[in-house]
Amino acid sequence: MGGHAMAIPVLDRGSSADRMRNHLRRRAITRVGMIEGDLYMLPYWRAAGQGPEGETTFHLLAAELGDARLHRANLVPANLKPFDPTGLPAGARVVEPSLSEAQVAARGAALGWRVERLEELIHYPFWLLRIVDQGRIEGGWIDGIEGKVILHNLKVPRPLPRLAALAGIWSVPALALAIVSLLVESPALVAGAAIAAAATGSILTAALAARHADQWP
Amino acid sequence: MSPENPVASPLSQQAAWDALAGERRWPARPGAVELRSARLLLVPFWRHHLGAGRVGAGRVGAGRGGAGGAAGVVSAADLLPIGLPPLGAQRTSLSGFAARFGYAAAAPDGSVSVDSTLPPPDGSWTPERHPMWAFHYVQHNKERFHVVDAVTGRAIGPARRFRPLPVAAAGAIAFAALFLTAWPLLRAAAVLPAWLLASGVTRFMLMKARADY
Repeated sequence: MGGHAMAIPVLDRGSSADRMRNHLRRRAITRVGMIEGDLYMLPYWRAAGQGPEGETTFHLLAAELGDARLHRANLVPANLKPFDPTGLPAGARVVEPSLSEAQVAARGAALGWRVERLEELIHYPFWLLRIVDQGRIEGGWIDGIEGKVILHNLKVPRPLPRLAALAGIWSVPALALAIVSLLVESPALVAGAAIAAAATGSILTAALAARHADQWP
Repeated sequence: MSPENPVASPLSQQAAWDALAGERRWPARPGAVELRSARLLLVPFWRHHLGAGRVGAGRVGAGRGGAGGAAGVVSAADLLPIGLPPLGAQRTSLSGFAARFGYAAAAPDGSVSVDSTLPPPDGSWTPERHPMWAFHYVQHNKERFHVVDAVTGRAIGPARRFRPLPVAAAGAIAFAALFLTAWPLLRAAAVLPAWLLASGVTRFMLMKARADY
């Protein structure tokens, strides 16, 4: 096993969010709201060996973050420096390697990459971004060097019904109830009409919500 | 069966997958959904030593590194990219999930311990793990990542199907309640505030449901 290095993050939170926003825009996802996130320094082993397409060098994650897409990333070349956490931006979360050399090699083998030796441990910057879309929050990884390695799962759901549309739906039972309450003086009848109007409104809105929800991912 | 003395092993992959299929109501035709990967994750949490061990058992503190919490459970890893929003100051509950610790030890071989990457808030917190099945699959040519509780077999958070009934019921209750309250004073004009309130409540509930979806 070799040395321990780190790649200094190039993208700050705003730049990484811009990269992600542009990435989504190219996929016609334009309604995204706020994007915020945290910087993680992920431990990757640069391994020498044999890849499925003849590769001789590749990178394997030396920790378990629950997301298998990170296990073998095509890392963008970066300027490496000896590992020194004091040189990192404030708030960066340094993830310690938790897998042994054998476990990393086994993980590589499971992916079809034969590890001959682990050459260098590199802490590589990734932003874990939280992407807000009308109340939904989804997560995505983006590398902190060039913003080219992007792992996200944001879909293109239909937008929420506008308030005006909902008001339009509720105007039907409301109008009917207003007419009834103008014609009727009995509290019991008015109460019955109110409940019937509320039930009608709920059925209409449930139908609308269900129709839109079919389009949600 | 108690959290301190678990006697049941976590759900099998097939049982969890079937639970997810039932929740999502996939089309029955073969090939509609293609499973790419399934991993049994031992997801780390922080449990306050005074907490009851259930999410939402108490208020979680003002924020990580902030004033500290009273009681409850917060996430020790952010798994949002695979469909598990983290619990913390901003989100204190997750639909379909009630943390019951003590089951991680019963997880079968092949389960994966996720590293803790989020520090605990101020105070006395103990690390815990909860087994969850993380599925990666393709439906309608779209990749999806969803999580199923490996103890209860319930789909969690974004894996749950949207249920329109609570949304519609909230609007209806708001409409009827406000109208009947205001009717003795405003008569037919009571419809106006009831109409506005029902529209607003429906919109709010839709947005809230979408946040969980």
